[in-house]
Parts: sequence; C-alpha cells; structure tokens
Amino acid sequence: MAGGRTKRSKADLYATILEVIRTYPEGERITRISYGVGVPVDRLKAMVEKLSSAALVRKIAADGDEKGAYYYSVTPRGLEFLDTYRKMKGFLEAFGEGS
Amino acid sequence: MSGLQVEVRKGSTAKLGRVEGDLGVAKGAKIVAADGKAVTVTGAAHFEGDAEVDCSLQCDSIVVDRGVLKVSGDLAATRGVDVAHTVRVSGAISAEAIEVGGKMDAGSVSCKGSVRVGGIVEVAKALEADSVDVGGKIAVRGAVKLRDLSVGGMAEVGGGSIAGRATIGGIFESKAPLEFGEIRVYGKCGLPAGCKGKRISTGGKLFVGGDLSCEQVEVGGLAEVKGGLSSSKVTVNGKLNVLGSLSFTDALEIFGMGEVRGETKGVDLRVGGRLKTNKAVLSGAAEVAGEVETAVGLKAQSILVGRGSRCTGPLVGGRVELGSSEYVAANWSKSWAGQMASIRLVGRMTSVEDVYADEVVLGANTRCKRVFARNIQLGAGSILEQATYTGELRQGPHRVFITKPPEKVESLPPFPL
Repeated sequence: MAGGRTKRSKADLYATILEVIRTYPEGERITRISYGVGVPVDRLKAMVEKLSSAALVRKIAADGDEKGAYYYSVTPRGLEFLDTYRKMKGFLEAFGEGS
Repeated sequence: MSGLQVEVRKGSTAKLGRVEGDLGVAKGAKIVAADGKAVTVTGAAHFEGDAEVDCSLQCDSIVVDRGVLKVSGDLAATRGVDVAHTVRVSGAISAEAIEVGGKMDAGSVSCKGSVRVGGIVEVAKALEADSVDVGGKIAVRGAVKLRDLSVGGMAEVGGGSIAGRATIGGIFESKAPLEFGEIRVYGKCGLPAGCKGKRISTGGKLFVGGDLSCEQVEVGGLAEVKGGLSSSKVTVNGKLNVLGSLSFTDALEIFGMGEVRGETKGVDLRVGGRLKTNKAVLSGAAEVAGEVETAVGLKAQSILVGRGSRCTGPLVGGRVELGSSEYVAANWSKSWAGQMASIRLVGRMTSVEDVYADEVVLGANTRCKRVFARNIQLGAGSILEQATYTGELRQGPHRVFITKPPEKVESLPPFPL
C-alpha cells in the first residue's frame, strides 16, 4: 500500500486487507478483494480465513448461481482493529518512527 | 451475453462507430474508432478480460470482469463503471458511479456519485466526485472537488476542496491550498499555506507551510505551523509549534507543550503542560497547571496558577490567584482520557515574577517578585520582593517573607500590556 519497499508486518497486511474489504460495506468476493490488496487469491484466502475466525471479517455464503462462493465484509470488531492500528501508526509517526 | 448487438472476438481488432445496443468484448481484443475519435455504444459495454480501446469510448455502462482495460482517449458512462481489476484511461473518466477492485489510472475523473477503489487511484489532473473511498492509496496531481474522502493508506492531492469529511488512515498531503470541512488524519498531515477549514485532527504529525485558518484544531502528536494559526478552539495533547501568532475565539488547551513565537490571543487558556509565547492576551480566564513562559507578559480577566506551577514574565489580570488551589484538569476536556485527574506538582513552590492586578491572592508557599494590586492577600510561607497596594493587604497569623516593606500608595504604576 505504501510507496516504500519495506517488508510489511502481519499487522500491516491484515490492516491492508481490512482497508480494502472496508470499501465494500455490502460485502465482496475474494477475487476482487485480491486485486485491491495485491496478493494472490490463495494466499489472501488463508489470511482472510484467519480474520474471519477472529471475528474481524464476516463471511457470508453467496446464494443463487454463485454456489460455493463467499462474500466478505468487515465487522465492527474489524473496524475497531483498523482504528487501533491507525492510532498506533499515528503514535509511531509522532515518535518519528512511522510510515 | 444475451441481447448483444455487437461482439468482438478474442484477440481480434474491431473498427466501430456507433453501436446500437450492447457491446461484448472478449479477452485480448482491441477496439478502434471508425472516425478515428470515438466509439459510442447506446447500451452496456462488457469486457471479459484484458482489452484495449484505442480511442474514446462512450456507453451507458461498463463492466470489466477481469484483467486490465486500457483506453487511450476518454471513457464516459451515463451510469456506472464497474472494473474488477484495473482500468487505465489516458483522458477523462466520467460516470454516475465508479467502482474498481484494483487500480484506477486516469487523466481526470468526474463522477456524480461515488468513486470506490479497493487498491490505488492515480489521477494526473482533477478529480471531482461526491464521495471517494479508497482502500489503499490515492494521488491526484490536480485539484479535487469532493464532499467526502476516505483513504486507508496515503492520500496526496493538489489542493481544491473537500467540503465534508476526509478520513485518512495514513499520510495526507495537499500540494496546493485546500478548503475542507473536517480532516481526520491518523498519521502525518502536510498542508501548504492558505488552507482553510472547519476541523482538523491528527494523531501523528501536522505540518502547515504557512498560515492556517481552522475552526477547531486537535493535535495528538506534533504540530508545526510555519505561519500564523487562526482558530476557534485549539487542543494540544502533544506538541504545538507556531512560528507566527496564534489567535482563537474560544479556548486554547495545552496538555503537552506549546510554543508560539508571536502573540497568543484569545478567550480562555488552559495549560496542563508548558506554554512558551512572546505575549499572551486573553479576554477570559487563564488556568495554569504547569509552566507559562512569556517575554512580554500574560494578561487575562482572571489568572489561576495552580500549586507548584511556574510563570515567567509579568502577569496582568483582574483577579490573580497563585498557588492557592490544587488544579483539577478533568473539567477542561471531556475527551481527555475520560478520567478524573488531578495535577499537582508535588514538592515545587508556585513561582511567578511580577504581578499586576485588581485582586491578588497568594496561596501557601508561593514565590513572586513584585505585586502591584488594589488588594493583596498573603498565604502562609509566601515569599515576595515587594508589595504595593492601594486598598488592603491581608495576612493571617502565619509567617510571610517580604524583602521590602509593603507600601500603600494613592495610585499604582501603569500596568504592562
């Protein structure tokens, strides 16, 4: 997400994923989310499953023609994670250790 | 793809003019304009995958299932643009609504409704929309004209206006003057001179290249304003540095450190940490539970200096109370940790320099230089160099230490400020 090439931590990756999913309040499928995150679908799936099991992401089965597909959206707890993550980044920025 | 009028096969190049109905384009296809300028589709344009449009394209709506859509001219949709992965338009994109899963590159963007991009937005010129929501990063070299902006990562704009709310998870920078409603930046915020808005709040750093006019300023970390700051209310939980003057019509609250090279002028001042300024002139009350340093002086209707606090520079007020009360800071701001807090600098004497006022009350163990007032009340253990008064000098049975004998006079010397 950032311009620099420093390696992203797990928290950075989870935050990036949540930021992308957040732009779809009604939910979105994994493929489209992978385009926003910039990570292959199979790798992203594992991370999104982790977020889902931690109740930061809601996973809803698609109905009708889209058998087997799921839609993902951010839960209130996921928004709380993002808010906390952003605030922590802000503190680090103030210390001169941010971004 | 039922109801299609025109289909462009996989890997082929089609020369089109006006398409009545829908257009379906398979993966790897290329479209060129019969007139060399534009293709018009009265219905929907549906792209299955990677495709190239070597002209301008106008249609009712556009859907791109996957891959990259490149348009060398303008892209105009009466209704929506829906791109799963990436769209690159050399010219202008215009639509009722724009949704892109990955990346959007455009010369300019004009959208009546919302722009929603999961990843990255890059616009060479102007961006105009009702709302913009980007998961990753947005960079607009020209001006923006928006109601709301929400960006998870970094946002860079070339000035313009964001009339409603801008929420930036990471870094925000405007290269040209910006008018804004509310900006909330979690990380770092950089603004040039001449910006104007209603509210700005930053958790990390705020840098302003010149003057800033903003009704409400909340600084969580560090804020530096290279010019003057004009506001209604300023709250600093970290550090504020103003190279010019600071004026406010409501209150200035400093829980951390504040340094104003010019004049600090406003209504009420509350210092829970440290304020250094050339001169402070207030029409209301000054409450100090820390340190205030002025070169010329601090003037207010009433001045309350809490126990253990220190003031450098003359104090000028209607009523000045020094060291007589433990200061309770929780009343200042409801948002400050939501907790009751009591600040008392234990073990330190309350120390001020010259005081000019109508009423001066010195609490226990207060030290000051000269006091000029109508009435003076001295608490136990007070230490002062000189007391000059026109009305009463009150002192209890306790000991006080005055270097020169107190002097009752007909009139006091002119007050500074």
